[in-house]
Amino acid sequence: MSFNIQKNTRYNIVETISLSHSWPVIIIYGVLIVMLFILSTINPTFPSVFSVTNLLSTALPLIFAALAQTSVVLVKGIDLSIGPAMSLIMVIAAKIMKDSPVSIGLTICICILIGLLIGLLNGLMVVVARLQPIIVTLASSSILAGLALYIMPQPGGYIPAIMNTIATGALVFFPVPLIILIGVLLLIWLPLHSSRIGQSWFAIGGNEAGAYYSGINTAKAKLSAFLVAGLFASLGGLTLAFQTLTGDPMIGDPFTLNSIAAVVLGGTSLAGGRGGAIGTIGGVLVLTIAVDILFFFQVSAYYQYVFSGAIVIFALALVAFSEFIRSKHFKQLQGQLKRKGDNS
Amino acid sequence: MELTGVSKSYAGNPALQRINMELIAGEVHALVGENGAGKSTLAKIISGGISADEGEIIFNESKYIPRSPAEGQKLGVVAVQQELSLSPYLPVYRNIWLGNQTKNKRVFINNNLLRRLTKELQDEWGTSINAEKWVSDLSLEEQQIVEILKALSLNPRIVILDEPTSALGAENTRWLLNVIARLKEQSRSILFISHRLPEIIELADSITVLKDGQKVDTIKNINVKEEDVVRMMVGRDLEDIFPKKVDLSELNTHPVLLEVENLFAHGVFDVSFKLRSGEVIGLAGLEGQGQHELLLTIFGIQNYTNGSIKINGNSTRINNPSRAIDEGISLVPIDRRTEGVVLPLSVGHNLALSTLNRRQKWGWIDKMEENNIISEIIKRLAIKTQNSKTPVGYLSGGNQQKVALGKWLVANPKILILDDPTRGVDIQARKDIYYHIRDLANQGMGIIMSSTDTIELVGICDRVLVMYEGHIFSELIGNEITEERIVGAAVGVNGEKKNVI
Repeated sequence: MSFNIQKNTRYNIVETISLSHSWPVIIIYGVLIVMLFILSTINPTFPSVFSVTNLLSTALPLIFAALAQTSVVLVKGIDLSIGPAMSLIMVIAAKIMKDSPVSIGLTICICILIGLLIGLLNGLMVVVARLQPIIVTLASSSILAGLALYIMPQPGGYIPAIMNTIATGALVFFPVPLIILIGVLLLIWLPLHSSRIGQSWFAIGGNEAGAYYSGINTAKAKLSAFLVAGLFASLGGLTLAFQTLTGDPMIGDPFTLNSIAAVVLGGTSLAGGRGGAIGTIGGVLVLTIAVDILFFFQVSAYYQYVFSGAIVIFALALVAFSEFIRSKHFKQLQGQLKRKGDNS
Repeated sequence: MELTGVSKSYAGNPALQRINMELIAGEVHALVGENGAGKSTLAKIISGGISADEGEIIFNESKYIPRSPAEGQKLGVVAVQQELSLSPYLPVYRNIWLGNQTKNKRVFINNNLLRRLTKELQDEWGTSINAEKWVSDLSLEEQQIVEILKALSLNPRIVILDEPTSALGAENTRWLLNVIARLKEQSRSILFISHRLPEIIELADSITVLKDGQKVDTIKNINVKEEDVVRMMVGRDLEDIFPKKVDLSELNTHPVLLEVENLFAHGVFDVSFKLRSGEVIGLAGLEGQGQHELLLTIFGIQNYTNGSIKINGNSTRINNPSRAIDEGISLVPIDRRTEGVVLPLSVGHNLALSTLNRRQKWGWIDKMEENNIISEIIKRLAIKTQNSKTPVGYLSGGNQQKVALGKWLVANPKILILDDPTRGVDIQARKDIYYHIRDLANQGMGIIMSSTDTIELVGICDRVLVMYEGHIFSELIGNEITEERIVGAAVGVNGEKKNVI
């Protein structure tokens, strides 16, 4: 009792690549390579250990913010409170951190716990109270921004200088930010991605009702996405504190929108269910290098905003176009296969 | 499994009333009824998707109250839902084992294990779908098969199949029937929901008929004829709810209103047909075979790449809806809640919407005239509403659909396009709508309607075009319009492709 549903279709390599679902990621890294090339021609000190470390240091806070955004966006949500959450974490760190190693370790732990708490509260409002993520996180962003200003109305506070040396330095030839980044990917993202939790994020983003009917606890899974967002936001806030050695209650504000831009650039669909960390990191690097290049051409800071906006739109158009080509090619291929099948 | 007094209502509207039912091991139990009779609701209650308001279910001699599909699955009750439960952006092998923790107990996903399990599962049930593909890249038919495989992977004791064959072609329908036979041998129970009566008569051991949320009866399937089941489903003879058709030979003398020639567009391949004044043409076929796209193209929502459309014999290029309205075409869209009516606006407002441009004088709207037209339409369509100021959202589904229809009658079109006009509409409102459609046709309008309800197409259309993969696969006229022929052509059998005149 065997029925041939569909003749086993084998594609050759060209077809496999052209039908791949990784096009947005391939494109963003293509753009990244082009930009790195431009950067190396206009900046004689690039590439060097120092300049790469510098670049990654600049990018690291936004990478954390964008990873936070990615996890929420994957479950069809959005988090507008990431920037203020980073500010709050930063000012708390600058307020309580002292020179002793115990104090440093304790402060880092407290900050991460606060980040998780923010994520938990956001998540509970979405999952239990069933409010829209955009509204919940808009409200909590206002609360968090207020709290940060209450704790530290003016930029100030104290972070031991050693933290800056560690956070922005290089270990022999390896930039510390790169080590942190790889560590985070290996210790947090990879396990998540290949576990039941990560899988349920993708399932929910693709088809929430379907995921529920498949026996997935959708409430838990969504909550976990917000928790992870809180975790990454706290890491972002700590990084900012270590890099600047102060606390600044307003510093996080632009990170919310930039994180969304980076997520979109990296090919994560705002409709949920597709995308991931690798693309997002590519997105952040492209945004960061774009600003760098503009800086070298001494373009006014105001135009830099215009330019980053234009880049996002351009990237989106590119992704949409590649998706269009892919689906067209896919249909053609299916048509050919079908005709072959009919003839045989 | 035994159900007693199971009831469920949504916002005061009863969807199910005191259902009693038995499901015996090793039995294929068919559940039939019209759209909105409560079949899917019952299936969801049994599988744990929603909970019943009243009544109790006994399963294996103990009380069975699943609070989620996951709990139902643990107890051995698995449903293949009508809305697919697959996640589009995950590969097949991951989708099948999604949420199933019996085989993959570890926290981390072992892709190779899942691939192997999927291979074994496919070998066991005799399918060969490329497990590496994303579900969004599969055809609807393949998706349905994956969905069934996913249910089988849970090793269930009760399988609920909600319209499983509506997306399957003839070959795979046969495959499914074999699967069901095997499940039966293993003394598992199957609750089978389907619109296709021949299938049910062939397959089922017992048949339960639902109507308007109530159980009509359960019968053993011995010498049961299709007509018996239909009579139980409808509760009256078929002719009653449909108006009388017109004489075909007379119809052929009427002038041609719309002529479509070799039309190509997204999802539409080489479609030609003519619509005469006073004629009702039905578009049949499985869901997603281009019916919807064809209607959108004629109304100018989507552009055509090739071919021509003639109205009253004159060539025209319809490239947006406003142009179509100027040409005298109106479209009642498929999803009345999102496209047909504006729910928070009043009945009167909704009726007046489509002709705002026409009735304004110097930018002002003549309220007196508007009110007259509105009250006339409400009376003509027998819309049940307190007055013209009631928001449409408060009306029943059937009456909402009448408003969507009435909105276009104000525009007084020559060609009326109805995209599945009776989806989710109760029987009384259906009857009203059918009579109005025939009335409008008798007044000289040309009507094209698509429908997923075969009985309805048989009852009302003068001509039925069956679509398959974007083509018109078969054309049925007059006495040729029978359920068997429509369904047959819809799944691509006995469809000697006819030239459409």
